[in-house]
Amino acid sequence: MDGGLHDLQQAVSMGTTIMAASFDGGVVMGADSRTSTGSYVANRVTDKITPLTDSIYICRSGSAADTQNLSRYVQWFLEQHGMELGEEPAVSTAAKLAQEMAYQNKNFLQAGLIVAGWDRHDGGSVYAIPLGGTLVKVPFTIGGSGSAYIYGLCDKLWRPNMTEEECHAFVVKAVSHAMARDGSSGGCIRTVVISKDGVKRSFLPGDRVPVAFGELPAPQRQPQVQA
Amino acid sequence: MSGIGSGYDLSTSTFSPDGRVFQTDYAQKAVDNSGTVIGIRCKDGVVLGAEKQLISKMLESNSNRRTFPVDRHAGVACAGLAADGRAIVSRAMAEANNYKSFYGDPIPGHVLAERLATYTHLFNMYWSVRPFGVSTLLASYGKEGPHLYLVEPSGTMHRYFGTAVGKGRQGAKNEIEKLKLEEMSCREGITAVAKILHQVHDEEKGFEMELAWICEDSGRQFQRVPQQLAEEAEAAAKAARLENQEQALGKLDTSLAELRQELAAAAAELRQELAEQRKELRQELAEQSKELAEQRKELCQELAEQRKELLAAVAASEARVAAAQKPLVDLVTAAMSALADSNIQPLPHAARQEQEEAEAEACSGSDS
Repeated sequence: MDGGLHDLQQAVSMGTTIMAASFDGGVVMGADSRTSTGSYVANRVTDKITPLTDSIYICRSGSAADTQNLSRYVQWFLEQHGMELGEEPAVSTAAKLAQEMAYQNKNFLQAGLIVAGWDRHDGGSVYAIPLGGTLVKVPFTIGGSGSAYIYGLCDKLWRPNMTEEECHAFVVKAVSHAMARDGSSGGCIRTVVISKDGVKRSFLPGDRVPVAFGELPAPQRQPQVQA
Repeated sequence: MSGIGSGYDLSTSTFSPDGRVFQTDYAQKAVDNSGTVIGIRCKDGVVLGAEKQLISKMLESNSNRRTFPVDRHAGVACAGLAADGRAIVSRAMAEANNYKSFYGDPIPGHVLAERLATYTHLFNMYWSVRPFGVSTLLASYGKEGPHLYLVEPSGTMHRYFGTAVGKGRQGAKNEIEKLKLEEMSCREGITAVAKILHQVHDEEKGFEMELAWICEDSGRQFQRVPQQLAEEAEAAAKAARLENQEQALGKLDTSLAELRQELAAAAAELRQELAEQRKELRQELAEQSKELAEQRKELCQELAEQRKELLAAVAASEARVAAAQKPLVDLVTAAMSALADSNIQPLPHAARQEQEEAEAEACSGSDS
C-alpha cells in the first residue's frame, strides 16, 4: 500500500510458540515472547503465560485481545467458583471453563489455549484447547504457529516421569527450536513451573536463548575492562 | 388482629413479636408428622431409609417413592409432603446437571446441599409463596468422600454422620447415637437402619420400608438397595423387633409375678391386722354394754324410789287440802241457810251492772 503502515492495520496477533509438559509432581509451561501486528513486532517481551488462579496458568496464542479477555472471564469464574467450593478450583475445572468459552464463541474468537497447573486431587495436569474448542487432557502439548516446526522434536524428546529439571530443559530446548524456525516466534523464553510447592517463574533473555543449527550466535557481552 | 397476638401466622413475610416466622414453623410440623426418614454415614458410604405409611391397602408396592437419585453420585430421601419433595428433587437434578455442564465435574455434595438450602430458603421470604413442607436428607459420594446433609424447610443445612426426621425421629436419633458408625460398613448399615425403622414404628398398621445407599458396594453410585439385601435387612429387623418384644414381655411377666406375691403378702398382713382390730373392738363393745346395763339398772332403781316418794307427797298434800277445805264448806253452808232464812232476792244481772257503772262514775267524776 503506502509502504510500511499496512502492517500496523493488522490485528495484534500472537504468532507464537507455547507449550506445557507434565513431569513427576507438576507441570512446566513455556512460551516465547513475540507479539506482532503483521510483520511488525508490537511487543518483544510479552507474557503469554497468564495466571488463572494461584496454581493454574494458561498459555495464550492467537488474538491477543481475544485471549486476554477470555482469560479474564475465566479468572472471574474461577474466583467465584473457589468461593462456593471452599477450596482452590481444580485444573480440570479451569480448563473446562476456558474450553466452554472458546467453543461457545468459536465464530468470534481466535484463541489456541493451553491450561495447566496443580491441584490436590489430580496433581499436575495439562489440558490443550485448540482453535475449535476441543478439550484434551494430555501429558504434554505444544501450540501456536511455531509448534508446527517442533512436533518431531517433542515426540522424540518427551519422556514420562521426567524430573523437574529435565522437563524444564526439554521445554526450553523445544521453544528455542521453534523460535529459530518460526518467523512469528521469537524474543525471550518465559517458563512457569507449577508443583505442590508452588509456582516458579523464570525468564531467559533473547541473547541467552540456545541457538539452533545454522543460526549465528548472538555476540556475547564482554566484561568491561578498565583501560 | 391487633393487640391480641393473632395474625402473625398468615405470611412468611411477617415476624411474630418474639421473633418467629410461624409459617416456617408450620412447615416444620408437616415434616414432624410424616413417616420417619433416617440417614447414617458409615465408613464406606451413606445409607438412607424411609418408613412409608400405607395410604391404601390397594397401593402397588414401591409406587410411592421417598428416595430419589439426583445424579450418579448423589441422591435424596424426603420426609413430609411428597409433592413438595418432588419439587425439591427436580430442582436438585437441575442444579446437578447445570453444575456438570458448566464446570465439567459432578457437583460436590456441599455445593448441592448449599444450593438446595438457598432454594428452600427463598420460599420463606415472600408473601406470595409458602415454605416447602419437606426435610431433605442428601447423600453424596464425591472427591470429598461420603457425606450426609439435612436441608430443612427453613433453609438451614447441616452435615451429619447420622440423623432422623419425621414421627419417630427422637427414638431413631437415640438409636443412631448408639451405633459405632466409624466401624460400620454400609452392608451392616442397612440392617441397622431397618432395625431402627421397625423399632420406632409404633402403629397397628404396617408400613413399607425403602432403603437407598451410595457406597463402595454400589460402585459409588446412588441407588436403591438391591431387593434381596433389603429383604434380608427387613427380615433381620422384624426378628429383632419380635425378640425385643418377647424380652419385654418376659420382663413384664416376672415383674407381674413379683407384684402378685407382694400383693398377697400385703393382703395377709392386712387381714391379720383387721382380725385383731375386730377382736379388740368386740371386747370393748362387750365391756361398754355391760357397763351400760349396770347404769340402767341403777337408774331404774333410783327412778322407782323417786316415784314412790312423790306419790307419798301427793297423798299427804291431798289430805292437807281436804282438811283446809272443811271449815270453808261449813261456812258456805251456814251462809246459804242464813240467806234462805232472810228472804233477800239477788239483783238481776243488768241492774247490778248499771249500779256498778254509776258507782265508778261517782268515784272519778270529781276530777273534771
